Amino acid sequence: MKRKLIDRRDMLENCIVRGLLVAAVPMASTNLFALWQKAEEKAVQPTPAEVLGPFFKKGAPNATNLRGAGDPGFPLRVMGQVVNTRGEKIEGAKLDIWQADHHGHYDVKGFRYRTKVVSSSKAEYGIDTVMPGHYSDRPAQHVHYMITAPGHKTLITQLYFATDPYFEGNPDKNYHKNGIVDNRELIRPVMLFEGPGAAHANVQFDICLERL
Amino acid sequence: MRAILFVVTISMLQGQSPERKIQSDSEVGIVEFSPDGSSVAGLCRDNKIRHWDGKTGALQKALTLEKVTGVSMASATTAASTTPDGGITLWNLLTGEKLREVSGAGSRANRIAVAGDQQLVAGGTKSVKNGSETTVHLWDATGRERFAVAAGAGGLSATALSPDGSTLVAASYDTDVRAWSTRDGELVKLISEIPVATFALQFTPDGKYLAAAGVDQTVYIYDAKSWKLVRKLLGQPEMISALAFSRDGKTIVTGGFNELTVKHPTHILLWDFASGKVIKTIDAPRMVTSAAFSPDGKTVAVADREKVVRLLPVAR
Repeated sequence: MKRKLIDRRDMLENCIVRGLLVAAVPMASTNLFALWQKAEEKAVQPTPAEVLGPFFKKGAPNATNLRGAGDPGFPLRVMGQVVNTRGEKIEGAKLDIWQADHHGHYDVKGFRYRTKVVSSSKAEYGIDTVMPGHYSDRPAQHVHYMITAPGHKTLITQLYFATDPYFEGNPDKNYHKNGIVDNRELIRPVMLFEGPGAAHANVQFDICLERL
Repeated sequence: MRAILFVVTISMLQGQSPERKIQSDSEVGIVEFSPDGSSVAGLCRDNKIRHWDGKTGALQKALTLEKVTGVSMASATTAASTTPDGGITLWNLLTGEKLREVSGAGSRANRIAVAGDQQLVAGGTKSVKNGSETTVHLWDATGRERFAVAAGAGGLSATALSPDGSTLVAASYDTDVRAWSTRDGELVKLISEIPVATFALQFTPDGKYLAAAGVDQTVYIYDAKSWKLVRKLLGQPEMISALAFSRDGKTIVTGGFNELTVKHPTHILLWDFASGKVIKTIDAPRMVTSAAFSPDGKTVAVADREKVVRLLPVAR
């Protein structure tokens, strides 16, 4: 006879009914269950959302190398993993990524420094690009993301760089200067590597989506 | 009293009126003419509505919008202020009179639009937590929320209500433009062919067409019944941030926004609506935030968040 598997809710409710899970203070079983579930769901904090900005463009090609031969700007590799708030890896998440070039200019006619990549079977993604330039309307260097995955909320966010002169060497203190960056955790450390041809920077930017 | 400045231009030498400039004490974001064209109203950064004499440029009055945290335009003659708790107040741009208040959706709304003598009020809200979904709300004459519908991701970039109040359109920063029936919130059209964000949505005065323009320097003209794209207006050298129709619907004015910064020079273009051809191009020193035709169609007022309103002769 096939044994019926019980789901997490049934298991928790059984534990509550049998007295295997009790609260230290008097609490209704429904509240206890809700608290447990909420705590579990927040095992991994979702990546904070940021504004989309005016320069998103549909239809970007799937390209992992955005840096053209001879392009000015410091070579940059951005990589990361896409997970959800349960810590589950998300394969096949679609990541629209776009940024300004070294001069702080967005290509609104074509697709320079724009891509749409898909997370791998290990839920990983990576792009080769350049450090985005500064522009006066938005003086902190940043890379835009819009991430979609079935069963998850769409996330629009931005990646910032701890080495950006805008943060004056102290992102903890200056991240919210002029209201530019709302969340300190979106400012990522930059690791420098000496490559065969030239130095390049690596940045790890993991994404955590909320489940629907 | 502020004096008006006269600038000698080629048009003056050709017998047309010269370009004039009205000086303001505060940066002007939005401009509109009074119905009789005798005065110009400006919505200013200090939350005051200023009125200037259209001929002399003299300041006639300055109306303070009290306890206001953010002001935008909801129609050609209506300003809307919003509060963080979702409240929306409508003001008559020409008289400064408080028209009505809506309690709102509980969180700050943006891109407020009104129609039908302020009977219908629309606005967008963004998910306040993580996630980036946008919702469009419509409130009726009693202040009751008639519907709240999903409107893409990333927030709204523009909204408009048709002149008869039957259709609500909204553009979101994810580049989609949607049209809903105001009767029940039914989505009547999803326009997804515009690849970049739309900054300006305007119906023609007769409500037959919708103009959409933004990042890709193009004005898209849609039939507002069939929702077919009937024409594209090409020629603006930069992004389009402002758009208005003349009252007879025959002429369009667009104002530019250089993608580098708001301070880079742009252009103001006059277009013939029927042919889609450019009639005139005028230099602008920076991003244009608002443009409006005088009732007789002979002058365009332009604001660019500086302490000046330009009055440009545009007689055809």
